[in-house]
Amino acid sequence: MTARQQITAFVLRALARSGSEPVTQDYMRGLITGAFRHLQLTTADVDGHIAAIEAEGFISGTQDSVLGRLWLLTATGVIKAQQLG
Amino acid sequence: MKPRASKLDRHRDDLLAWLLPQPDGEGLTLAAAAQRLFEKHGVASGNGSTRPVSLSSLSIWLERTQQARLQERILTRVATGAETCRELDKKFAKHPAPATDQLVKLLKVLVMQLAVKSESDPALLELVSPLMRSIMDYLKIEEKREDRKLDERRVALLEAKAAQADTAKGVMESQLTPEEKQVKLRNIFGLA
Repeated sequence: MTARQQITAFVLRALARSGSEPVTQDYMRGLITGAFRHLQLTTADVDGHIAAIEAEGFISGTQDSVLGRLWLLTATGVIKAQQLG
Repeated sequence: MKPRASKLDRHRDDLLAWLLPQPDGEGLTLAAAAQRLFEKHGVASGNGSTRPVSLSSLSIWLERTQQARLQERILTRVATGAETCRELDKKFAKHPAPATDQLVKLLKVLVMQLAVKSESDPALLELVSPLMRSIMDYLKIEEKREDRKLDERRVALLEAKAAQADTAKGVMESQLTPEEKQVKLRNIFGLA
C-alpha cells in the first residue's frame, strides 16, 4: 500500500468515526499529521492528500463563514469507510 | 488495501512487551528480542532456518505495528470526541437560540481538535473535562434564568388578572346602571 492509499484509508476511517458532523480543514490536517508523523509531511503535502481524497470522490468540501473549509464523507466515502472497517 | 500480514503478528503482544521501552515494556534490543522469539516460539528467519528473524525485518515490523497502534489510538480519540459532540447536541437542544447554535458549532470543533491533537500533547485532553463542566454550568445557569423569566411572566399575568378582577368587582358594586356596568366590564376585559 502506498503512503497515499494508507492516508486515504485512515482519513475515511476517522471521518466515519467522527459521526455525521462536517470537520474543518485544520482537523483533517491534524488527523493526517498526527497519524503519519513518520512521513514528516508539510502542510502543502497534507493539503495535497486532502485534495486527492476529494478528487477520488470520497469527501466533499463546503465553505463556512466562521469555520472555513468543512469536509464531509460522500455516500461513496461512507461505503468505502465501511469496507475498511 | 489492508497491509500484508506478517508471521510476527501472532507474537505481537510478546514482541511489544519485550521491545517497548520501560515502563511499558522490557526495553530489549532488537537482537535480544529476535533471539528470545526464536528460543520461545521457534520463529526463524525462513523455513527450515536455524537463525532468528533478521533485525531489519523485526525493525520494519515494529515500526509498522507502532504506526498502526498510533492510528488506532487516534481513531479511538476521534470516536470519543464525536460522542462528546453528540452529548453537547443533546444538552444544547434545550437552548435553540441562534447565538447558542454558533457557540455549539465552535465548541464541537474545539472538542474534535482536542481529541485529535491530544495524541501529541496528552495534556490537551485534560482540558476537555473542565471545558465540558464549564459548558454544563453555563447551561444550568441559562436554564434557571429561563425558568425565572417564565415564573416572572406567570406572576405578572396573575397580578394583571387579579387587578382586572378587583376593578370588575368595583364596577359591579358601584351605583352605575346595568348598561353602564356592561360597557365598563367589556372595557376592563378587552371585549369592547
